[in-house]
Amino acid sequence: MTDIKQINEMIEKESAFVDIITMEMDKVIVGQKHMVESLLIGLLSKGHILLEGVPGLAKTLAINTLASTINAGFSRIQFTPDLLPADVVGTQIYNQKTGGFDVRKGPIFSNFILADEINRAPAKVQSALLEAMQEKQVTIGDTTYKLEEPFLVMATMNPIEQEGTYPLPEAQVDRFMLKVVISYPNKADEAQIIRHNMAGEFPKANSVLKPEDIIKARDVVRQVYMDEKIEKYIVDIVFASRYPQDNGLAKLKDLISFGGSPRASIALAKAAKSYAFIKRRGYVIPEDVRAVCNDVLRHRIGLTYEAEAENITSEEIIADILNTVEVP
Amino acid sequence: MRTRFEDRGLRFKRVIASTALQSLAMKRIASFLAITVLLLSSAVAQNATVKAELDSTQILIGDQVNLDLTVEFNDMIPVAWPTFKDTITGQLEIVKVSIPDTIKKETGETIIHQRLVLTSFDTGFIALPPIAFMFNADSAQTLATEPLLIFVSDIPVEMEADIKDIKEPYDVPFNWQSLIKWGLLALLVIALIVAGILLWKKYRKVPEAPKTRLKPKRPAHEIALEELEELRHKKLWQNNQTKQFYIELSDIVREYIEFRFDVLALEMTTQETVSALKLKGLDETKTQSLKQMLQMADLAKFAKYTPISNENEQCFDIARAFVNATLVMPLDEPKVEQGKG
Repeated sequence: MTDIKQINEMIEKESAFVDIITMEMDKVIVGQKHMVESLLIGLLSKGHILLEGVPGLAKTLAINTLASTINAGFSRIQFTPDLLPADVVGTQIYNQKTGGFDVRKGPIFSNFILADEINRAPAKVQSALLEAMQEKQVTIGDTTYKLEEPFLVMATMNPIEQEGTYPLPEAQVDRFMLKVVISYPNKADEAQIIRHNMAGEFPKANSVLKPEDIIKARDVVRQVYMDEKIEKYIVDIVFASRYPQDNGLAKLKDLISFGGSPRASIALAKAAKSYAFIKRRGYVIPEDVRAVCNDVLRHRIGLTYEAEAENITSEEIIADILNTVEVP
Repeated sequence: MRTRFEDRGLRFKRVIASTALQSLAMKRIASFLAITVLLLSSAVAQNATVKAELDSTQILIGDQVNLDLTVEFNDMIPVAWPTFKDTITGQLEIVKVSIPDTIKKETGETIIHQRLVLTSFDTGFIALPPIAFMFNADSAQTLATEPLLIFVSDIPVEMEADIKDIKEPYDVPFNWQSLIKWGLLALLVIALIVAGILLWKKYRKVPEAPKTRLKPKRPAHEIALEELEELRHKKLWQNNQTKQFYIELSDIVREYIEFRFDVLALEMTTQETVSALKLKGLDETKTQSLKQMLQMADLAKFAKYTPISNENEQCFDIARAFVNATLVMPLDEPKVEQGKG
């Protein structure tokens, strides 16, 4: 479908739930608009989300709330150093009555998975989860089981307390469509959080959507029009992260060890479409690309030792790229 | 009865008598051997001579001396040339042994010569024993050289003189061949480096020059107005090239904003451009109409929207009006105060 007017009308109709979800989440989460928006983008783009932030910023609560607004399965897995892959995906258990093995499915067989503190579990557990995220299927014994749609993994990670953690390798981090960094709330929001707690008011979000609504909305998101000029803009940004010296950014050459992969370009395009959908538009504009650029690229740009020594972050590099690449 | 002392004296006399007898027997054997060797030598001597000569019989400790061995013979064939190892005696060390050199004389005689370089690190008289040469394997006749004597002296120490420093290392003798060899090698290395540099310069990937937009010397509004006129004459939207019309229109306006307001408008989105202009102090009415025009351009560029003729003309007028309303004439620019003496 290429008629923008029709797409716009469809979006107007299908995106009404965005306001409802946002409203339900606002009842529970004070502030953190960007986090809520990013969760919606992940939900609409079929992309998994990695949330990073210091403890106490409502990461787990936000994911919990999002899951509770949708009438779908929800599992929470607390990652610990003694967790085993079978604890995540499931295992076969001997049945004395039948004399055979019964399959006991793990918590991954759900629609929304909250992988809390993903970097606390060893690599084999992380890879079991990340493989399921990528393949959308799990093999137990000789049988392969498809995971139910919508399937969304939201993992949290604590940037401090690195002792006893297992940092995710770059190849596995790349499987998360978005890496959202949560910052502290502003003064007004923090005051409101105190008031809520002092009054003992802990509102709960209502279940307002069905999984089918999300699947339907995803179809509409796919139809959001992206002009070739926007595609070129995305490619220019990703290429600038790979070859900064060819894009007037020679100063970044020694700071970037590796740039965004083709998966980054795909994720940028998908996330931009979802953002346009949230903004009730049937087409993507450069604003949409720029709005999601940080969350899509920050974990896909490798920093060199020089950059780390100079305390340069991937966000600063992305800002330099966005300020240099010409907007169409 | 004999006393203990008498017994001892008797035993002593017996020992002396026995030793004298043994000595006599040894002398006789030695005389016999000497006569035998002399007889043999005289038989061989008729046809061959062996000679050992030192070029010096007195050396300083550690110095080297040449020992020349010469054998001259007629029809006899030398069957066993003595073999030398590290030393001749324990005190004389062999530094170098040359290959035996054979010379045939016209008279039919054959001379074989070999030179040994000897040294010693012991002082005093050192005897060089006779060196034996065997002739004719069948008869096993032997000829030996004369024994020689070398005096190895120590360096005299002047106890009252000052302590002297050790000698400087010997200079390596100048060698033209070596100089030419190393010179050619150096030239070859230099030539390879130069060739490498030339090849690298020829085939290297020249990095693209960074994109820089130089501020034009002419006022930004002049360029913008000229380009707007050119765009009008192109009649793009009249020829169903509405998207291209808006691409060019927005580019002209954003370029004007970049040079006029020092805002990186070409790298900014519509919203960012408008916000940046507000920060520069531009009033709401001007930014509002500009935003309207840029949003229309975004629709045409990114949303396949085809504005109607009136909208196209309106956007064009907004762009021209914006330039005219914000232009800075050269006279308006603040004058730089000249230095006061």
